[in-house]
Amino acid sequence: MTVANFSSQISECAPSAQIETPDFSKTGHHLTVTVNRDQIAALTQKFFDEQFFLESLSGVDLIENFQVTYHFNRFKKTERVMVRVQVTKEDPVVPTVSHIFPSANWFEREAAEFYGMKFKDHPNPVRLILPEFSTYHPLVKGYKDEGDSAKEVQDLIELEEAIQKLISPTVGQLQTKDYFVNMGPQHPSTHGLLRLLLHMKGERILGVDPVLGYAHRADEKMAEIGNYLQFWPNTGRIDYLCAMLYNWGWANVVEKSMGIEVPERAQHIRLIVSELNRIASHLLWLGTFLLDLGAFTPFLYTFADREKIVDLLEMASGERITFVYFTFGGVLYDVDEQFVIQTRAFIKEMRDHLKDYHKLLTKNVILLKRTKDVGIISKEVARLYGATGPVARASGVDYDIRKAEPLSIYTQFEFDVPLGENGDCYDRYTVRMEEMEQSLRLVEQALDKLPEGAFQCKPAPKRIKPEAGEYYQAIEGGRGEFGIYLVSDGKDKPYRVKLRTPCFSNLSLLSEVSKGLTMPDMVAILGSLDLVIPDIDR
Amino acid sequence: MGDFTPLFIYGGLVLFVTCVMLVMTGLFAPFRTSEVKFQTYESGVQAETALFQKRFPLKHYLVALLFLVFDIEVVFLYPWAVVAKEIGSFAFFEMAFFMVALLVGFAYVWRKGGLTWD
Amino acid sequence: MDMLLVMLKIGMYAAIVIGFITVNALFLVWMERKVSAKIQLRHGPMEVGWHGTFQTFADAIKLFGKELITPVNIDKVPYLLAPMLAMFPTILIFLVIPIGENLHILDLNVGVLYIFAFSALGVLSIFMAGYGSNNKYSMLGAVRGVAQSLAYEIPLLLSILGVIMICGTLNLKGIVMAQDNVWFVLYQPLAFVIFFISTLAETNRAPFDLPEAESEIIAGFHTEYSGIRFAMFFLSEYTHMFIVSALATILFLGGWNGPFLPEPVWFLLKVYFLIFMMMWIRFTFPRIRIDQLMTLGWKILIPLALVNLLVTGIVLKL
Repeated sequence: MTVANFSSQISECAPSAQIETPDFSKTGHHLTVTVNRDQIAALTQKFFDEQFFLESLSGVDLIENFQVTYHFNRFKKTERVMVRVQVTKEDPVVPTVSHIFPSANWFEREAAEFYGMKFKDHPNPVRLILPEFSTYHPLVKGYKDEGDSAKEVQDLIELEEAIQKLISPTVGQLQTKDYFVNMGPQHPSTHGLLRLLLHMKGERILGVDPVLGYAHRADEKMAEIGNYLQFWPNTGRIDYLCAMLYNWGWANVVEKSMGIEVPERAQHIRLIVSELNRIASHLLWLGTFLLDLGAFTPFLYTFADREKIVDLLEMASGERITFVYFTFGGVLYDVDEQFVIQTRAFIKEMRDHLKDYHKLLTKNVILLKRTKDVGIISKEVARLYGATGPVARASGVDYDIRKAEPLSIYTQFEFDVPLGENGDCYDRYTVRMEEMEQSLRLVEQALDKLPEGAFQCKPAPKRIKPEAGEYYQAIEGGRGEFGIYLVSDGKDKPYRVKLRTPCFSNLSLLSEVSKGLTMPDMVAILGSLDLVIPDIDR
Repeated sequence: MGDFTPLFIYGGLVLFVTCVMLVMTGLFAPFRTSEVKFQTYESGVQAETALFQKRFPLKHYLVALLFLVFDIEVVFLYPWAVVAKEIGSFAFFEMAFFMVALLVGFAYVWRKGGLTWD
Repeated sequence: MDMLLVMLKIGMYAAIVIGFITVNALFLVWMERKVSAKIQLRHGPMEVGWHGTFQTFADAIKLFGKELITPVNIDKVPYLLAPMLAMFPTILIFLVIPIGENLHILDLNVGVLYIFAFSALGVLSIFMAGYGSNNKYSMLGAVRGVAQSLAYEIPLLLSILGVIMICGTLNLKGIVMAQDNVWFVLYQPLAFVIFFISTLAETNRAPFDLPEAESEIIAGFHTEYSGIRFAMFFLSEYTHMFIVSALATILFLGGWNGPFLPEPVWFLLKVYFLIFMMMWIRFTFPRIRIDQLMTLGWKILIPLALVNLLVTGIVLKL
């Protein structure tokens, strides 16, 4: 069943829904649906039954109204439906859908704190990213820090009670043998400012509550303040380990919305540097994952290899980590013959090294014992929580945006999407190892076919002003789907940019999979999820 | 007791040396107070001030008992092992019987899940 | 006069032992850095002295100059006593280790038991440190340390019974002399493997370094220790490594026996080879999980050690 004839079913369960079919290649939506708030739960249930997953949920401030935008998508082949719900600012209450899709839990908390909306019957309405006692709503248009109004003070009191219940459980609630341990923000294996509140009994974990926001930089607010060009540096700093891919994400959504044609050579270069960046990201993951498991040596091996990639990318872009190499309609600089030669040499070397890694690690008894059957994420859990990327593919979810919704360049090359079976830490390990090989294949093919020609479109787009409208484009980042939901009002600044980052969704399933495991398993799961903290907090 | 006299002397010396180390570091090392520095480390979050000395459900009781049983066994086994060559078959079978009896107990605990760590 | 001579002698030996322990620990730290560097394709310390030989001396001096941070809310007595107690047994064990036929300080007829009695004290210091620190990670580390050393004490003790049955003595010199012709590792290969694995666990070396697993519980039982107190744990850990390797050498590898070279050289060569093995293992394997560690100890090593003992007994009887 395709999305096109899905619209009749939508009208059945939401009679007053207004359904449109926009141009997919431009907006990234197959269908857009506008419904009343009292129909959203029924509609979401419909999507749930039809095997959709909740890709993203974002709030938008439309000056007179608030809008909540839901993006539903399907694994395997992209069929994206956008659902809008508008509520007035006087009564900004939307029914929660978190009982249907648990992934909505965090999305709704985020929207609630940034806009001051309320999600009715939300199970855990406390601050997610902003400080626990904050009452301000920074993404509201015209937001100024003016202190607390009376209503907000009332909110604050309610909030405080909720937090008291959740964050600092009183002694009376604890049995004599349980206790709480903070893992992070300053902990060696969270790799950044992530805090996990572990409820433990001996070495067993009874519950996990991630506390986010330590690395929150308000990238979404910064996008609204600057113009389209000024957002480039931020794209390289969200997931700083695959900055090239995130560059591509931003380039993609703006180029598609404006219809900018990218020359063939530029597309090839983009693919080469992005896939190299993906390998670098996976190498860093491999090193740190094994460091978490207690093996120190692979860390230095993988860093030596990563260093070579970083050198290559430096040759192309002049930068080493937080790249701003892409530009609308191409890339900033051309690559030379030397880059091609050295990349070829690297591919050869890397293949040998990957064999070494397999010899050293893949059959290692202790590694197998630590990762097999640990942290099993089922296919269903992956869908419920909107997990994407290697985490979902290890569970057997065949969802790689390079195949499901490919940029034109990816369709020219051959590569496989490695899938796992059990969804345990070991599968996540093997999937990523295999992905590195596939990326090498892609780079090799792209180098072979690298055409001559322009590396930027001519003439370069002078004024970046997408037409008013809503756009959603996704690319396959190193950790999963990086989607950008762009609302444009036709001016030179983005009206609203929602960054749908993979780590945010991937982390949200942590409490689901870690119950009953031991603390070392927790570390293994965290490592295998491959989190980048600014990617969670933005 | 004569055999062990040097032991006590060395014991005293070791204590002396460790104390000297502590005194030396007291002389050389800086000491600056600050409230935050002396807090208990808990990943950068304010930890509870009460003493954290709780009961841990590690089946420690059972493990400790088992350890004691085996340790006693070892106490018997060591003198036996020293003279194992000289003494006759009776002592050997005696010890074999003792060990089999112990192994039955061990197998029972194993079966009951007492060795599963939680 | 006699009394004075004895005192002088003891003082001299004490200086030698403490000097050796210090130099040995410093050398082991340097060796570990160099071995890990070679395994990890890097150089390791290169600046202080030839190939960084004096780097660890510099580090030791630095540790003397570090502030002793004593957190508030601790349980004072166990917290302060723990590092001293960690040092105490390891140094005393040195007294009975025969480096050559006549190179030892104490010659006890129960040398093996003496060593085990004192090395078992090590876990006490771990538990006191973890219990006294009022830190959750320390407590977890301490509990792990106790469980682990309880579980591995038994296979350790059981595995060497075969050796004792063969040579019929608990005297370390006697055991070495019984290996003039054939090393016991050839008679008791299984026992050697069990012994080696158990010593890895007893000394908290990777892959069994759970009490101080840094990616899980920060630094485990010594999270709250700094400066020289931390150095004491460090020193005792490295001395412990030397001791268990020396014991393995005495029990299984023929002690100081060997052709051409002088006795102490052979002894130290064997010991450092075993230590090298430990380092090699540390930088090759990931860390094992606590329940798997207990399973390995209780369900695999102990039955194996008992079987080994039984087989040895039967063979000796026949």
